[in-house]
Amino acid sequence: MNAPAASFPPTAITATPLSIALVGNPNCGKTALFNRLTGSRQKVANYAGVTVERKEGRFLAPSGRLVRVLDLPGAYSLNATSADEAITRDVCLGQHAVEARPDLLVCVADATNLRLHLRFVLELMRIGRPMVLALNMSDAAARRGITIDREKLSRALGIPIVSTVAVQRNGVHDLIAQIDSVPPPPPVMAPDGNLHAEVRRLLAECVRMPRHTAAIDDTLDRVVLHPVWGLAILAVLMFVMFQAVFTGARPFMDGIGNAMQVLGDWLGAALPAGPLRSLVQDGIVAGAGTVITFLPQILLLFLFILVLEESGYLPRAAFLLDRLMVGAGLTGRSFIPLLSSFACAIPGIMATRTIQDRRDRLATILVAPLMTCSARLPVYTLLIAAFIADRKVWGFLSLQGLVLFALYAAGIVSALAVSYTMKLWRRRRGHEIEEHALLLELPSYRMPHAFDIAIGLWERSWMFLRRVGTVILSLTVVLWFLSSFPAAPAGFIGPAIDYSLAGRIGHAMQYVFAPIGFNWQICIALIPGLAAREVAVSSLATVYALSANSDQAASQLQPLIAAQWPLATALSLLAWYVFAPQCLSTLAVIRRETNSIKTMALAAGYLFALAYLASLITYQIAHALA
Amino acid sequence: MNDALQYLIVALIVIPSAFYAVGVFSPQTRRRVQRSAALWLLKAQHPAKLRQFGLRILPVEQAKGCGAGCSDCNNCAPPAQSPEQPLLDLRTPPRR
Repeated sequence: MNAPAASFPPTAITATPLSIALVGNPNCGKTALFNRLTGSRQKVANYAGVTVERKEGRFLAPSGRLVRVLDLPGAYSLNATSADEAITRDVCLGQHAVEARPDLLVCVADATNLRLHLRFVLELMRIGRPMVLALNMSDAAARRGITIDREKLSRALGIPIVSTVAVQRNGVHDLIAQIDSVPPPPPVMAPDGNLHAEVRRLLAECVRMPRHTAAIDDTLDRVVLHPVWGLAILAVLMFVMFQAVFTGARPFMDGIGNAMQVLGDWLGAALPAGPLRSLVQDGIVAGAGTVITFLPQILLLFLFILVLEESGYLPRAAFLLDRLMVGAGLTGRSFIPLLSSFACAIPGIMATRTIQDRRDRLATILVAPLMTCSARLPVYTLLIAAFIADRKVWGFLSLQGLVLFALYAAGIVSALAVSYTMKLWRRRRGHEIEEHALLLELPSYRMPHAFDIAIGLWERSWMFLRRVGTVILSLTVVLWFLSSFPAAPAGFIGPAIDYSLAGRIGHAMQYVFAPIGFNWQICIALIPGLAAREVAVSSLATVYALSANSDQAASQLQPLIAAQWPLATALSLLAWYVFAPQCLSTLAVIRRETNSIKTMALAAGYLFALAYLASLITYQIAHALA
Repeated sequence: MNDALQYLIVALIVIPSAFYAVGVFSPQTRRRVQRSAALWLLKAQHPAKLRQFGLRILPVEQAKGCGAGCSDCNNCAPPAQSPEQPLLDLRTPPRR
């Protein structure tokens, strides 16, 4: 499909691009359509609010016209109630600070849910811009026996209508032809008409629906949304996820770990003794190589997240947890941003734009970093594998998996406790606490496409490996340099690393971190860990490799820390990583989304205080018991 | 391989890594340094090769947002389509 542009005469390309915008209700497939039109790979999922920013792409239409496509966040109305809806409103009305009003609006509507989507179509028609209506998911509508008289509906609305299936390769041909011909503006509509009555009239005339919802959705929802069974299913799903992440990935991790060891040994033998061998063996292979071994676990975690996102289960989980979240000072709408934060807090914080209430949004932003992001997984796994016995509980549950689940649960419980404290604080200061009813669109269940999941996993792998090859590798190399220079003079007693710059910094930091049980090696690892949490693992591997006396010790971090650290230190470091604000990018996004340095400082301050306090209590108790 | 050569190779690995690491912690500082170096290389009295190199390292303005390619989170959206990216061509090939 990506035919080379060079095979066409260059004069055929029109100089001025046609600007079009994809608009419509949330979760109607705008981004899937955008990806299909432009060849992009923007994130799509089966719930409302995935796109919170405008995205831009281009394609060449059959006539040679250059078309600039804007993918706008979903909106139910031009009366915006949230930050993402405001972007759509401003662009459509030509009020956006940067973006000019589009030449053509491509209004995307879910063909299975026209009762809801046609209202926004009618509202958009009032703007008076040229418009095409794309009835997306028309294959799903046909399967449910929904028949739409497209000709009649098109005559009634006065705009061209095409059927599209954005997830199919040939599903947008008619739409491209319509875009290329640029239809005239729709007839002027009376601004004060009753849109709901108009939708009912259009549906009665042009659409035949056997039933409003799919039978399978109703059957599944009776169980999944049950107040008792629903919560039990959610708990089991989460539990299975973390058990599988720990146990399922182990053989692959061992395989990668062995390969890294062989590579390190081979390079060690091939290179002459000196600084280059030390850099390659102790820095690059021991440091960055250690982090690569965690790829299978991260992929397994994302496999679960992608399947849940595609299936349409996530909004149901948000509905189930609404009561609990409202009690804790959040809202059911906070669920999806918080769940996104399990992958990374940055998209999670950005997803809070779908939350209408300003205070609810701020509370969600402040607690999102407490969700256990995938970058913490290598640190947790390393410590659990080193200090928790690999045995079964009740014959079938992995103890290590249980501890991992407990760490994730600790993050969730802390987030609820912090938001509840904020709620109490607001109440005590006399602020009125408004509790909004949760209005959430439940999408149809969908069987996840194996191909889409595979593409998603491939992209995660590529992102992770790129991160290892850039941020982690560069910081590991810098740390190796700081840990190797200045070189210890002749006659220096003790490990040479103690004389190095990193060794001195680590020993100085130890005064602050000694009460929570951190040794100087951990202190050093905390600094580069600010750029990315996984760097803490590669940094520990490099520091211990440089301190080690034998090649065997240099290549394996896990047995080394198991032998050298007391259990209290390991538990304290685990507690630290549940809370620590150790991600500069997250803090930068908090500042951008709230437009406030004060809020960012508040987030960093309370997370640091919580981390130190939790580590202090954990260490002191574990130390006393030991 | 003698020690001098080893130190030279180590320097060639450590210096770019340090420059990249500065960019991770302080992107604005790295951009400022990179821009100053590029502008210095672009001076007319420098040989063409150096000026070409200066042009290559001159930082381009980046859009803000999740699509800006912050490369610091596992789940960040892919960057928005840049002007350099090949166009998806939906035209039918001309008949011969």
